[in-house]
Amino acid sequence: MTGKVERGMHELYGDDPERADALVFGRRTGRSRRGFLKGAGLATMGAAVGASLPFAGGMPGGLVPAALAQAPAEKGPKILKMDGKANLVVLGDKPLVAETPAELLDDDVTPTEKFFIRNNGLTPEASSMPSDPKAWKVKIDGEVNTPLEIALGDLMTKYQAVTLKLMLECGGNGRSFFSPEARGNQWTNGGAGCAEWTGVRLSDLLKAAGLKPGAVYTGHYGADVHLSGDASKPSISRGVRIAKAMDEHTLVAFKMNGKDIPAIHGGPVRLIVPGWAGSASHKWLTRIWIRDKEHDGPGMGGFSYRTAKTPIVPGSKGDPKDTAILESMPVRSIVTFPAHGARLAKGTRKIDLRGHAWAGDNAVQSVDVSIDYGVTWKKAEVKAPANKFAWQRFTASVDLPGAGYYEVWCKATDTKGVTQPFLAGNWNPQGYGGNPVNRIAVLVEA
Amino acid sequence: MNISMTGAVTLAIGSLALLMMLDRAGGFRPAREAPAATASSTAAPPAARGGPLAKGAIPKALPPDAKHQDTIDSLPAGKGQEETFYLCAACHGTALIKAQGMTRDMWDSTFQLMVERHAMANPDPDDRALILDYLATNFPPRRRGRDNPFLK
Repeated sequence: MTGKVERGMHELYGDDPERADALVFGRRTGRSRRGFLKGAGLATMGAAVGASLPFAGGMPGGLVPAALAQAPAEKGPKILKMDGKANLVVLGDKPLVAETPAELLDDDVTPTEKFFIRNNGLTPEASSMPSDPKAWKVKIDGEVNTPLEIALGDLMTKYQAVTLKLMLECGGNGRSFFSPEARGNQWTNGGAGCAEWTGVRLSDLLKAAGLKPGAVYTGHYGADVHLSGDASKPSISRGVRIAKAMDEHTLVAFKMNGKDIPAIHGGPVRLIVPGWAGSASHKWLTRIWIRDKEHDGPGMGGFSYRTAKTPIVPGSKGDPKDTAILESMPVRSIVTFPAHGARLAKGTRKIDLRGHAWAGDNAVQSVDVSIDYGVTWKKAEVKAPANKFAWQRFTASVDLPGAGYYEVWCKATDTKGVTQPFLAGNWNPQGYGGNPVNRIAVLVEA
Repeated sequence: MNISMTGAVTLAIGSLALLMMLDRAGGFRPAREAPAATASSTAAPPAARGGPLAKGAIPKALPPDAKHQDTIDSLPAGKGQEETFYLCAACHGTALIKAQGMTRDMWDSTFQLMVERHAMANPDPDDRALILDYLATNFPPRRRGRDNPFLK
């Protein structure tokens, strides 16, 4: 398929997916909400994706084939070139934001080099860091009996260190699935990773400082400078309810996968507030301000890290007063093998697929996979998490009836019975909570 | 990411000092206080950041600490291209702009967010309209989704 055809397809689908289906593929979406292909339409779509479509009849109307749904590659994705980092996809260079392609998230524990990068401000200059990282100080003040200022060296020796595998995920992960587009970096599913973090429990520090009865919220501050260069302005300052701060899995971390946390990932000291929007896990942590009310730093107001309480019309302005703070991230699953776009050898009749699933504060109870656009589903095997807030491995072996183009879909359900929708719903201006069923495309050579 | 340490320190300290003063003053400092700014003679006034801007006063250059590789050609040509570039790219790269496709209304609320939360200068309404027209024309919604009966 030529790039020109691909862009044309995107424009058509971007304008009106259901009409595009009808025009391009001769397909109409019936009252059953399920489209069908017939005659020339099927052949056209097959030609467009360069293969036969064994289950085309089950593909819902208006859903662009996954092979076409990728970002239109005018110049292809910009690949990160940075020492110590894998080939992540750059979403922006200032602030530096890069996501991990799903096939690079296949490891049980995400290696540091493959971990996504999300900055809100400027990475602190090496020159602004103490030459000895152990001299880095973190302050805890506000609604506490004894304000603390602890150097990293003391933190490491005076408190018990714990090591946990914890999910960290950008609050906007999945934003690119919203239609119409929501504001911000257009993440697919790659703003997430599960590394092994070592640190001390924030609860131990808060107990040492002694929370006053009025302590209800935290406010986090770091050393990253606002993009404007204004040193008096925090790049971002978010916080969490005290209960989350006191959770034994919330860490003031100083090691990532057994080594000092690299500067690009917030070292020497950062917060890890697992399962919640990543912006609560402040990098280059300098201060935790214990508040007697909900924190009101930059990133806590407007539509930032907030979803609409009353469902709003997709694409409309909404009312920032009618919003709720995004806390726990929603249930999500990704296929990490095979890769999206994998060409499977002629004669392949089975895929042993792998992936990860996670669900914010909850665990994943089941993952279902489909290779026929959701007409039939098969239960995957889901492993227990290594510890609470770690993602869970799923595997499934699916039979393929023949050669051609297939989409592998996966859908996780959490322990509350909440599953992934087919399309990103609950549209909100800044695009949080986009967690539709994951779709990858593979091609079995004829 | 190879930065000359000395150069980076000098530039960082110089521009920080300058920015802090500008912020305290809420805009440009009066002329009599200007000598303090000689700490970094290369630091052009970062007027695209903070405070109100008179009509046509959007600078025609990036502040020296913009720290990204983008140039005016990083944005598509069109009426308002320059103003958009120098106002937005004073702080962030153009990739963030280009990744998004929004209605004029949503670009407007994005603009407001930049002024209120991110210390972007607040241009004259005519300049603002020029930039919003540019953004809405060049970066309209690309994923319209279903025909929405409530957005007529």
